Amino acid sequence: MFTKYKGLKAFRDSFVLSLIASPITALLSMIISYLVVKRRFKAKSFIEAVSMLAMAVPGTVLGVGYIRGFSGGVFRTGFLQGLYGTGAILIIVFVVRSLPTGTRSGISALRQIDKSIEESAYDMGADSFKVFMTVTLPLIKDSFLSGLVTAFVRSITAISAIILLVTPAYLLITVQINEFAEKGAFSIACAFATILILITYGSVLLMNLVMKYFGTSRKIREE
Amino acid sequence: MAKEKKGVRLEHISKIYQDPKTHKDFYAVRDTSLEIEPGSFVTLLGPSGCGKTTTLRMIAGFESPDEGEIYLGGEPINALTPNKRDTAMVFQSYALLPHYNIFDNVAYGLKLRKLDKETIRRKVMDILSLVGLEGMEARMTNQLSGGQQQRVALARALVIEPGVLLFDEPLSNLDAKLRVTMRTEIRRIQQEAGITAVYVTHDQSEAMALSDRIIIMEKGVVSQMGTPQEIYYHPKNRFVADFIGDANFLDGTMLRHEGGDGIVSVAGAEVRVAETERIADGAATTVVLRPESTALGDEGFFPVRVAVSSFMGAYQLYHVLLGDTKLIIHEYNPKGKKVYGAGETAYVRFEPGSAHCI
Repeated sequence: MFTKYKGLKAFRDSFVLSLIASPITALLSMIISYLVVKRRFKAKSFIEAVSMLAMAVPGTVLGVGYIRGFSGGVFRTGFLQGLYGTGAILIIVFVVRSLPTGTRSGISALRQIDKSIEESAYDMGADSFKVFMTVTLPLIKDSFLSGLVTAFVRSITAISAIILLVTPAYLLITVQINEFAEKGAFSIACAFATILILITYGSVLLMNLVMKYFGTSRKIREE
Repeated sequence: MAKEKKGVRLEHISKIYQDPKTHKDFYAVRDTSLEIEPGSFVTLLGPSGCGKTTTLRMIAGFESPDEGEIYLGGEPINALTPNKRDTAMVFQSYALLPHYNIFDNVAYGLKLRKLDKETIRRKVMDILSLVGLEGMEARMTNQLSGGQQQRVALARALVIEPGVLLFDEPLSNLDAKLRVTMRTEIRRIQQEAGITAVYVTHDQSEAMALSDRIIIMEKGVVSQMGTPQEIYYHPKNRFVADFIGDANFLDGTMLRHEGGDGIVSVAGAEVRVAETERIADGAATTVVLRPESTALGDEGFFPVRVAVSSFMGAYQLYHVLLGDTKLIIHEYNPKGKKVYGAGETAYVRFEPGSAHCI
């Protein structure tokens, strides 16, 4: 099944692209939420609004937008035209699609940190870099991890935004499932879907495991 | 234990904030100068918005003054960031690091000072036993009660042996009973450690119980500084008298001076009073009477009508009317004394010298 129906390639492409997209999303969303919550600057609310935009736009519209935007290059200048049809544009779409969720969870995690917790560390003698490394970062670690996994799961199951954008160079599992289902080959579609469910569920389980051992549980390890 | 007691000196400090609604600048603290002796316990007391927390945060370095200079142990510290200042702060919200256990919370400042492991362990254990938390070092912060968390916050501040210990309303999140216990603890620990402490509160009984000196602030300026007794017995103005304890105010006229005391005419009676600043003969003045130093009797300085009379156990509470002015009287040990009912007329009595004029 894997070789005959190109299942292996489909899974591998989907997996690799999502795997690349998710850390980029998680990092980017943490940077955005840190800027939005902790820094004061003029374009703050603009950045916050733009990072949320992808949530409001339907996936297919986003996909069509990318096709029109990049097939002739940015603004039809030919700039970045090479991006069209590559894996990179798929990764960009993945990132943009799951950025709002990550940013939202990052913002709420950072807002929950009482300002005085960081102040107290600062007061104890830590410089601002040390405060970030020993206080802020550990406190948003859970949100970062869950952002990572959410981004991964959203990317690997994404279909609406990429179905129009994908080229034969890349086979994505969701597109394959869709295709087989359309052709009436439900057994294959179902088999693929089952494996996809296993992958997404497995990654959530993995996240829980990681959180348990590297999260707030120093206590468990010390006892 | 503290390596060196340091004094704090503020010279003409001002801090200007912008009102978020009107965008107008206003002084949170205006031209404030004060001196805190090394090793003393000083309280900044005032209603909310009086600038006491801003003053404390300027000493800690979280805010920088717009005018003036702050000295710590004689050194100007305006240019230093909080992590470079020899101060440690105990926060209202405790501000413990939630991902660390108690030991790591207390050890945090020591680890930053790159002490060796053994010294850190010894110091942390010593300080935990001083605040009464021995055996708790492996617990996480969320496994502690509010009072215990505040002890950790105190231990964490003490362990780095700061020149000055700063408290930002540390007891306001605790229940009333624990507050009383903790303030006794704080005083004991401060004395044992022999450390300079600056304490911010809006609770006057807390300020009285803890402090060597109280600094009362109102609208960004210092109203009065002094020992708790000075402030209670000789308030400089109506605001201080009213803020510290209960006070009755009576309008009167200064008649003359006799042997250092003033003789004031109040409601037709001549009353001997103490004064904070000399008031000229013939000038209008206000007499401050504390409810607990006044009583009612069949004869006295002036007659009043009793409006409310209720038994409070330790004292009989009267609300009496002198014309339109309402006075509050606490007559202590009411057992065996004559009790007046509402509507009756009685005379106000007080010891000469317990009245004070401003």
